[in-house]
Amino acid sequence: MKKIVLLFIVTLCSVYSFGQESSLEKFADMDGVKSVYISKAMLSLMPGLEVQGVDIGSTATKLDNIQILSTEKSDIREKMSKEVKTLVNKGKVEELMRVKEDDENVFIYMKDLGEKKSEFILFNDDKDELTVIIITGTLTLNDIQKIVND
Amino acid sequence: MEKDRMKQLLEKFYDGQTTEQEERVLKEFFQGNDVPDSMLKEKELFLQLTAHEVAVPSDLEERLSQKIDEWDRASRPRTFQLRWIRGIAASVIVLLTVGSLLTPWGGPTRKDTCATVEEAYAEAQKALIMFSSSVNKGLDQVEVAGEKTTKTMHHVDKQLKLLDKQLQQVKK
Repeated sequence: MKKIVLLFIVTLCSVYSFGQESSLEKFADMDGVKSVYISKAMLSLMPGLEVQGVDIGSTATKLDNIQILSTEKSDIREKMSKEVKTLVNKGKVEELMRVKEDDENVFIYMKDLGEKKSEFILFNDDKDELTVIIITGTLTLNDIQKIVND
Repeated sequence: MEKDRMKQLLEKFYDGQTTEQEERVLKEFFQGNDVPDSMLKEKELFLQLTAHEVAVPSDLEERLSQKIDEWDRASRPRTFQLRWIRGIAASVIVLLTVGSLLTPWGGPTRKDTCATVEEAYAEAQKALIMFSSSVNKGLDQVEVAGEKTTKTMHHVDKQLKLLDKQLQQVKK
């Protein structure tokens, strides 16, 4: 009987932890959250356009998807901040950078997804809006930096 | 002579090895009047032992089987419950396992929110530029390259505004 209970608990825990994986995604469907999701299929349709000084074409091919969440509602902003903090505390994402400027707080996190894939999370908290940009793909931070710096 | 034989039989009786016939002989002997004085004590004991033969109650068997049935009934619900609990636990585990196997690990795949490629492109550009400029902002602050940063930022701001305009046009 003890064994059965133990097995039961272990199973529940593993299922629960799998359910926790992409915890930022749940905000996408909330009221008051503006959500944009661009899939790999959509990204592959994009022409290798090069806007003046901005090179996206070469980066776009390395992307799996882009997700943008933004909200002006203070209660959701708080929840999102908390969610990100727990992700950092649990060691699911690593903090790469933190920039504070005037009313703007910017955090950049990274999550290694294996097979050279990684997820970059930009957490931009300014006085009227919280924007979270999640980029997944085989790109590096250097690639992201180059987009406007070349 | 009879006395000796009776003593032998008595010994056999107490050892539990007498036959029914021998017991009857013993009983007749002790009930009779020619019991020697030396054996009076034994007579008393023997008669007491054999006098009241414990009668087997006629409903003994019935009562026994009733009792057994009762115990059986009392013990059955426990095993029944245990079996149920085990069954439920097992099926829940199976369901959870199957459920977790069927659910894709990365959660449900999301659908594109942009209807057109142009809109997606503009959004992607906006997001990437924002991301990139943030990274650069952070790195440039480390380098303390003031002039370069303002120049880049100015450019980026211009680009962002342009994109916002584009986006609005696309959405209309």
